[in-house]
Amino acid sequence: MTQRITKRLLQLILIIWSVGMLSFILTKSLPGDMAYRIAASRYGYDQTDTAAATMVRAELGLDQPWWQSYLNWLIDLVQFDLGRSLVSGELVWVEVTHQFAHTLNLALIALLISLIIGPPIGLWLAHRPHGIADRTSLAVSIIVRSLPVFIIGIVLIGVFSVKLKWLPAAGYGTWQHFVLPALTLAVALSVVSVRVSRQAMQQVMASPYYQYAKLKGLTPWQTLRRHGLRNVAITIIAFHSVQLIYLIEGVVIVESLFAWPGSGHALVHAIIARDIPIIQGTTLVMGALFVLLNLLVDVACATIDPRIDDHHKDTAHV
Amino acid sequence: MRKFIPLLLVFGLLIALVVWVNLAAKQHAPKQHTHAHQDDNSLIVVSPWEITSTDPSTTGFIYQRLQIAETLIDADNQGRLLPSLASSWHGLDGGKVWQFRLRQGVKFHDGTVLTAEHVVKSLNIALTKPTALEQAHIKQISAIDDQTVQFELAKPMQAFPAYLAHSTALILSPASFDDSGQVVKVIGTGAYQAVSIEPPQKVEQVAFADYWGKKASIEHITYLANTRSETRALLAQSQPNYLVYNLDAPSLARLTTDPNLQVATESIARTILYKVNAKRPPFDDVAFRQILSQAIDRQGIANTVLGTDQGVATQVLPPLFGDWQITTPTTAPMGTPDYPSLLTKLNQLGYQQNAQGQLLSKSSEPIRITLKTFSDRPELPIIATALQAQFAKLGIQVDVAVGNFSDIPASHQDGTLQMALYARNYGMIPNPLGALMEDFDADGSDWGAMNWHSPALLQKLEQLNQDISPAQATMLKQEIATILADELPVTPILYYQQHIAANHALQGVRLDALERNFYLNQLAW
Repeated sequence: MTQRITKRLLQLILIIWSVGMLSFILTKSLPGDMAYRIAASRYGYDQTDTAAATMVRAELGLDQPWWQSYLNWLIDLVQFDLGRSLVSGELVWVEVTHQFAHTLNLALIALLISLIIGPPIGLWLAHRPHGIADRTSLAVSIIVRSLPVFIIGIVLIGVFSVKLKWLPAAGYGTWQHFVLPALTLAVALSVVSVRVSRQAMQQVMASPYYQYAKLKGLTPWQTLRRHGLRNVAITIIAFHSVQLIYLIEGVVIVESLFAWPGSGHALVHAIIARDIPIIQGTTLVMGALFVLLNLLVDVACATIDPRIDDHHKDTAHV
Repeated sequence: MRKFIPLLLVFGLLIALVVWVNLAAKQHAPKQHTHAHQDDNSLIVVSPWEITSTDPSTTGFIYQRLQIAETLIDADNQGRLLPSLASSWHGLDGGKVWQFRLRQGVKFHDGTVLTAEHVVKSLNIALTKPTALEQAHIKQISAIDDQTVQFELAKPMQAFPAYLAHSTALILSPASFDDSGQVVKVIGTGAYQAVSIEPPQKVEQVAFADYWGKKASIEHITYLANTRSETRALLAQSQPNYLVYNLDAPSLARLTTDPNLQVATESIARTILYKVNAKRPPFDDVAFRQILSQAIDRQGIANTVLGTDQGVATQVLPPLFGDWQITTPTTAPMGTPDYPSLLTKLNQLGYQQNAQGQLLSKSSEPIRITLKTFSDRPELPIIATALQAQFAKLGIQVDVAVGNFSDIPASHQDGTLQMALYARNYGMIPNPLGALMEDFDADGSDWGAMNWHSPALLQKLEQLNQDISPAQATMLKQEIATILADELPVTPILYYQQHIAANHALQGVRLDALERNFYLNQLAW
């Protein structure tokens, strides 16, 4: 286990360096003059002209060679200094924490909602395979998952804000503002989670050890608790860890739709503006979080099923 | 139990991360004051424009519209100058020196009384950043006494006072700036004071009790930037406390049928037009430019894209600038184009068609044009494709390139631009003379002419800046408008229509054609 944690932490350092370098190279290789892009994001459409771009170029030293800019970033990074945004002039650290707090809270609540909805329904459906509920759930899953997250958001706003007037349609600041964006992300996640949980439970139920547990006279609940839940949990946790990428992908759209001041929205704007320090700062924090979450999933799986760790030990000895 | 220790440790680490990120975000949350509270009478103003920073050079237009900060001069819906922080002004030395008398008893939101020194400091700092004031040829700004500010210019400018109405010329309290001259807080003199500014989306503001003008009756206002037009429209329908700006045509059709909503529309000082590189064939031929303009079905585009009968642009400056209007020029007709007749005219000029129906240049090459535009204003790409279809009827192939708006000034400078479609704001400075002098300068301009200039036009613009009679000024304006309509260095298509929606309960809703003011202090429930 210690080996696993050490490995992941080393991975974290590698991720920080490689994500920063990749975002630097990719942003630098995008077409368009950086000075104009930064001026456009700073001063807006009516005031962006060559004079503004020239002023930006001189202020930010955009004429210096790429390797010099990269080295400056690397030296600053070693000193835990992410620099300042080229657009707002604010410290990257301040901007990223402000935005990331909003994104993280939203993503975690969405994940929590999908965990509350998905697995329980999936397990319930596994006990009633091929019934009306099961078939309906399959159809709903296919339809909802094939809808862009943007459409789901619009539908939810239409129902809960425009028709029922229960919740604010956009904005942030109160718990009510969380509900619709989190639900938008959670709905698409849950529908797949239902199917994955249902399938996993079906496989477990069909396994000899589960059948034997029933034969030996355990009640259905005892069988599920002692022989079902742990086995099915591995698949469900693994699925949700893979789906984290969907959350980040969905957050970009959801944040724009709901005027949510998070990292996804900021990242899109930073790419348009060629705001390299913000791109590096945001991707770095996202990359680090991914490693941490994957570590959590690894440890959780190894705790639930000790055979995973034993297998690793065996292969390590070989 | 021991086997759970690593899991608990990693889980604890994640919880710690979430708590720490939230605490750090809260610690850095930009608050200016702390006594804001939202009540049932509060209003939420929604527009697509995001906040970049506290600096007026980047976000002044929002602080101006929200009535947080003000300029020395204001303007009405026809572009006529009005006193604001300056109660009167006059020019000396033929318009080379200008003196502005400040309004008595104006207070900043921090209680400081406005003096001439504050104006000098704010404007000197504004001049170190991109601002329209750069075009005003200011040599020196000085305080003559506590209430009088003097501007010395490099050359006479009758239009000078209008420059001081620009949103980058906001007057802020000395406490707004740090030692290096950076704006760290927005402490203005407006009807509302900022409580918190949270880029990119939110401003909280409360009514300022010591405001010198009409005091606001809605105590608390939130500004929310939302770039999605669909969400903005849904926000208007969701709760009664929204005032929503920049509605798109498809949403507008739905909102006008909502019995709870009032929808207001105004033609603003912004013209959708295209510019061409007048050095490169076929745009070096004035007659070609004129026929191309005649091939645009402006009414059709207005109906389908803007969803309105209004807005057909037959000349560069919008109708609100009445003195500049001429009778509908033949180069930009209102009706449906007669394509066969236009094609005949092109043939007579030496542009023939090949067997595939493509129009050939005078050197017998198929004419193929790249039209650059951008999607920040969502109607522009649609208008670009409408132009593409309409020009195709003459056999002209147009490739539409949708990119970032900064590509237009960038490609103007490197000379690669052929044609660009955009919406030009002629009301940033209430006197359009400023924009025209910039756009049609002898060297061209990023948002104006490219490789085209008219000595006669420049001379008339210069004359307009001299001390002349109103009758002479009107005549010159008409002559300038005629030159632009004949020569078409830029070709007008539509005048921008601004739409807003609010609940019927909100009284006093009106639109500013110059996009300077949301008139929030005139609103009431």
